[in-house]
Amino acid sequence: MIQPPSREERNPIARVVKLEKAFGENRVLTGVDVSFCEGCCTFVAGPSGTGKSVLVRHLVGLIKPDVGEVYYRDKRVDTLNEAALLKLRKRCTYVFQHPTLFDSMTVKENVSVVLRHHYHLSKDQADARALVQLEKMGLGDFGPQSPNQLSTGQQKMVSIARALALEPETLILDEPTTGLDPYAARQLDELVGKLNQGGMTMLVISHDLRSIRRLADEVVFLLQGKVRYSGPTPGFFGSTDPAVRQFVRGEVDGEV
Amino acid sequence: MQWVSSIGKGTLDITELIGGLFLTLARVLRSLVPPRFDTYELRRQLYIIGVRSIPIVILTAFVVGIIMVVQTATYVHKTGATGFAAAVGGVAVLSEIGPALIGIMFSGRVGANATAEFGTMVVSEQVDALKALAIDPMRFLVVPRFVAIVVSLVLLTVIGDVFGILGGMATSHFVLHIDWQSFVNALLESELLDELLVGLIKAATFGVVISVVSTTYGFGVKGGARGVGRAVNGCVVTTALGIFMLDYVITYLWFLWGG
Amino acid sequence: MKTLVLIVRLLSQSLWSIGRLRVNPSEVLRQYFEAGVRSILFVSVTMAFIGMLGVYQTASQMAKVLPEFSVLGAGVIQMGIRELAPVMTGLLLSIRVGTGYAAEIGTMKVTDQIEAMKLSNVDPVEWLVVPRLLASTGAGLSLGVVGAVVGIATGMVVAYTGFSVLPDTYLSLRFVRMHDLTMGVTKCLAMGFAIPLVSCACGFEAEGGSEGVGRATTKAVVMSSMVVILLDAFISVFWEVVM
Repeated sequence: MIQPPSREERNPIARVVKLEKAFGENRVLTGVDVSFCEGCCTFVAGPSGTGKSVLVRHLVGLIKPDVGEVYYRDKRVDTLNEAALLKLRKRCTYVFQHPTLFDSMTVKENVSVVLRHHYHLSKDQADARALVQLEKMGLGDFGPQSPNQLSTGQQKMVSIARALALEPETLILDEPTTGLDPYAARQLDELVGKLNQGGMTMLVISHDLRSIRRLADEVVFLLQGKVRYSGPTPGFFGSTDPAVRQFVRGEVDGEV
Repeated sequence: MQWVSSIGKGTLDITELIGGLFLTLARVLRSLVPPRFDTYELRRQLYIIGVRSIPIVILTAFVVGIIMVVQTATYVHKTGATGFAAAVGGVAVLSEIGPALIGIMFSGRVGANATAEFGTMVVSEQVDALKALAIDPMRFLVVPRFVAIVVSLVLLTVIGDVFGILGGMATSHFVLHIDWQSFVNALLESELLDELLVGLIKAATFGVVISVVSTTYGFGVKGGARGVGRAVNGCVVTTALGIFMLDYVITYLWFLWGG
Repeated sequence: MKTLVLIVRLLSQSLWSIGRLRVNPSEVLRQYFEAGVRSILFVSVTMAFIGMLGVYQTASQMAKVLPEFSVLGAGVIQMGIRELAPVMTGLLLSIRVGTGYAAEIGTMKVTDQIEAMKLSNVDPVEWLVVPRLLASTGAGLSLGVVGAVVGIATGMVVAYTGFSVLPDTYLSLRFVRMHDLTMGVTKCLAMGFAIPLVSCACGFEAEGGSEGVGRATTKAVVMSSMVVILLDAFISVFWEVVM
């Protein structure tokens, strides 16, 4: 049995260096240095609006930094052109917080369009494989339905299924359990755990402490555009940083 | 002096718009070579855009044929030149009114629709989702529609020409009591093929205009429902302007070239 | 079709409101400015090209049959007044104003502002539709006139530069009769009247956020341009055959 490398030995798969980003007057990220290790399940946490989505979208080139550098596997991301970015996103796939399913297609077609484009399959072949993918996640029944007929939780699962059709090595999930009932949230957590155990690097934006405890290898805690903690999970829960402690305890008073 | 600044702003807006239009055109053309676009989507759009527009084109063309002949009735009664009625009716439909009016009706149905669809997708982040899934929105959304629009409009214009002439013939015969035999003869004597050809060139050009304008407005939507409404409005206005401008330019060049 | 029923309902309600003189003059004026004055640039530029086009086309056709252009101006002016100006400005109006009204009212509908109006005991038809109806009818006529003038003027330029027709010869009202004027005016008024009815109805039926607004505006432009063309045919045939 070959042991997987310990956390200290794992390489960073993605890094941001001195990242700054502002939208008009609003300075969202004010100097962020973070690296995400390969094969880890990293949670990006913090109160709403601190820039978690903005940070993570830089990794797939959906946003370009004002200042700073973004690396994926030691290659600069922020200077890539659109065509190269498309290639990157096949390996590192970002799933939006809102389901963003294509409502002009059925659920099955939402997944099969990805297969059609990237594996040059015919429509029938792609549809068949899409159905298999959906069934693996327990969503097979929804195949012929329109996205609007599904609950939010189900839509989120479909959007993840759609992303998984690319077979990426890194999956970024933006607040996957927000707005879900506890049962659906648990199912999603299980999926995240399973994918990570299968070798996929997971980056999850979430403020769900239960999920963090259960799944995270590492935690990145953002507050007002700056990183307050970045490291293994036990250290996060035991941190002496007042902001982190406040967040962990769910207290109302304080910086957060 | 406020009107000066608003003219200045208006000019800047127009240049920005024209720039955007040419940029879209360039990107569409670049995505056509090599022609790697979604053929399933192309077939789907050919059906939605082409086949489903047939009824409205037939109706418009037929009605326009009626109008053309009715309007020339005065000259016929004055001069007894039934041939003239046929010539004007037929020829005008083929090379002029046909492409322009069918283009306008088509731009309403297809162009406005495309802007609305693209705009809604932008607002609901579906376009970003495509990019995040490593699918190029140009090749997936825009290019299939571009090809479908141009091909459909050319074919629909042919269909429209036929029905326009039929409408004119019917009116000549039933309402104006002009023998339709002489109508057909006069029609055949005029240079039909030439006029048909310029009509088709116009149709193809209008198709390009409709596609480029609707794409530019659609992807530029900002601001939710209100933004979509504004984009559709801007799209149809710009398309109409573009169609008539190019109509004139093509007509002028055609005659210059000895058509 | 549900929309047609709504159009008829809007028509009757509007006429009722107008009949009882429940009309806000300043709002009508404001809408007239929006529809009529703000569209002048669009209508003028487009009609300029159409005018040049029309004269170019007609003159080239005439040149093939008989290179004599003395009737060109008279014919163009007559045709412009009775047919081309009304139908073209009607189409342009349906494009600009039709989508505009549907977009405005559609956005209000999907953001529940119409509901809010009804709950505050304000009649949306009286408040929104009637001013637009009156304004657009007026705009139909004034833009028709503007369109005719611009088209004829640019046609005159083409006639002179391309076919050496002197402005004196061109500007002849020889063929124009009362019959033609009444046809043209009726068309402009009818189209200006019909377009807001159709497009407001489409706006009121919008549902479902931005998608709903998009669908409503698309439907409005298709339906109102169709109505313009049908009205043009109907009035043309009616005038010729009956009058």
